[in-house]
Amino acid sequence: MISKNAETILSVQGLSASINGAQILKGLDITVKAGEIHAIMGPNGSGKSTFSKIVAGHPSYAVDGGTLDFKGKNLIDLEPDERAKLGIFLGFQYPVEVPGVTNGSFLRLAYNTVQGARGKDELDPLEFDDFIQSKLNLLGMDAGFLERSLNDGFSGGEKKRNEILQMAILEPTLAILDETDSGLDIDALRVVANGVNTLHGDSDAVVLVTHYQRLLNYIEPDFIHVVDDGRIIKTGDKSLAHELESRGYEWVLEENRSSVS
Amino acid sequence: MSEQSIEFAASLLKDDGASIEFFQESWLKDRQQEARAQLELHPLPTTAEEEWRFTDLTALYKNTLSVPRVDASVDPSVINSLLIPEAVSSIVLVDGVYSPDMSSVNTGKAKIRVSNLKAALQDESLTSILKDQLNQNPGDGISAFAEMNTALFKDIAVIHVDSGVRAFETIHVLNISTGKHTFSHPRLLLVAEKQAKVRILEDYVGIGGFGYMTNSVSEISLAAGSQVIHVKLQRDDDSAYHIAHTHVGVDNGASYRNWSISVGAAVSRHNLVTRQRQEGGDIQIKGLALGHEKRIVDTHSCIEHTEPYGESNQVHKTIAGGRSKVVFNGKVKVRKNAQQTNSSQQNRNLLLSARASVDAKPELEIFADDVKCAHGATVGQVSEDELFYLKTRGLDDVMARNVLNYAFAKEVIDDLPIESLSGVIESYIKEQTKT
Repeated sequence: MISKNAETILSVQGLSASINGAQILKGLDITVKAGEIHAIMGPNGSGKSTFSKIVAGHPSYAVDGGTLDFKGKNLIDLEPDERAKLGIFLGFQYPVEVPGVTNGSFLRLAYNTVQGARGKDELDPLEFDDFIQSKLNLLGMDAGFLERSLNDGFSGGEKKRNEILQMAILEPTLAILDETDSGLDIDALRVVANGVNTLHGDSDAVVLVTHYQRLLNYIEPDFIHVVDDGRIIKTGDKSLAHELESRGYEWVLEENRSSVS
Repeated sequence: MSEQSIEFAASLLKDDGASIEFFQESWLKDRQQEARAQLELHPLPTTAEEEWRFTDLTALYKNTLSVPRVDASVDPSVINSLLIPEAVSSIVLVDGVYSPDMSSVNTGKAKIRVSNLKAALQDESLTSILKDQLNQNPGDGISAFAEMNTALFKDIAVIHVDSGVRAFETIHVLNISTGKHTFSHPRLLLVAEKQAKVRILEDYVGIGGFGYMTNSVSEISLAAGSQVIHVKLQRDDDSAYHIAHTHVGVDNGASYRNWSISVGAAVSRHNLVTRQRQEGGDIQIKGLALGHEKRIVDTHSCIEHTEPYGESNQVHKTIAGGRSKVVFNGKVKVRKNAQQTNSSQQNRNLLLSARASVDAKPELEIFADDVKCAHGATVGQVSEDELFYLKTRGLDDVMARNVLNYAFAKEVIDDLPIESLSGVIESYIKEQTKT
């Protein structure tokens, strides 16, 4: 929901970044305010996934220029865990499997670390069980999930639900969901989208990184951005997604090329 | 260097065990004499031997070790705190000698006999089992240390499970070392008859002991269709030397499952030799060795398939932290006759420090042409992807590394069938894998 007086959550200006000397972002600008949902779309290799990793603090990328502020605070020198504690959440495209770490105890550790840093009381295992039950219900997950190893042997759909479950307990101010729709069948997509819609409110923002318009039928964005070659080349409202779906990306890229030259 | 090992062996062999009256049994005396003779032909190993290339025992050979006192007393409350609640019977050997006061043998099930050397020799059928089975399953991987054990053991924990006894009884064999710079040669013999089932915990711990050596041999024989679950937990004192041999023979359709966990000692070496002696037979081995501070921890395993249709599956994980040195040598032998063998071996080594080292050596010797043998060995550090994932959930670098190190090790014991032991091992893992 767009509101003029909303607080700016994420402010990115002229962001350029590289990995192993190869420049991926080349002056990216985006402003995200509280209450808003943004979708970042674009062809493969355009830099949209890289952008989400850089906001979360991935150590492989070097920020070469520009600004990256979260609620007025410069993120660039902060570690990923410090960003998480501030309220940034990255839903992974490929959630990492960690055999040997029990999902339930990991979720509690993450909750206590993040919420503890925000001044909330830590929860013991019994209190946490109560707390997490409603979140499990929201995502149609049974308590058996908590006994399994973190993402280990999870199906694609289970992994994505588990990402949204983590989002639910960490209560981020900015959730960036990287290709959360990939690998989901239509039922799982509904459940995941419903989870995101339920968790989203006036004081937080969601950024969806996606290839397809499909997800946007379930989570309605306020803004759609098209990324190409490390820059946002077009921004529109949700009707842009339909146009991209029917016409592809080429016309936007073409439009951009002619306006540059 | 070999002179040192010869002198060291000679000083130990001065202990002739003669004070123990039941060694007057002539067959036993003969067997001990044979082992002495073997030791003279094949001295204790040095790094000049291929099998001992990575593990230098010079520090051990420089020691002057003595016979432990026979009257060592251990606080019973300490013993009780170590015994697992699942154990129906417990055999406690103090410095290699059976302690009747501390052991608790449940004779309710006469079909599982839990005994010691003295008692076994007073029983005709157990004596004949001892004669048949003791030192009768040698094969590759027997080092001079095993001969030394045979020459010098003072007692034997004897477990015999009669045919068809299907209840899973857990028996805790607790080996305690109390001496300062002493040596002991704990011995275990487990015989599972046809279709029998048994579960044992072979446990090594130091109580008050310091700089001691335990040199153990465990022999396990599985008759057709039997099932043995065997957990070996080595939690000796950080100053100790732990040399261990496990020799296992598996008959037709029998199933042997082993967990070997090494979380103690200054220097340890485990020779784990399992042999599929008849058609069929299933060997499942999981190993965890933690290299901590300046520890040397060495596992040499050998799985030998001699007959068709055998299965084996081995997962060995190690963590090398501090300035530790971790060694794994995993042999799998498939003899010409062992067609349709299905075998896999995985060795994963996690290096935590630039000053630690890992020597990993899988060795496959396959002489049959219709077999499936998979193997893999990796040495690596904590994955950057996993670290980043955990950090985005709020865990700082140290927390995230500790979680991942712990998880790496814990996977080995996730299906450990002795529940109370998981917690015990988990606390060792937590303590020794901290960044």
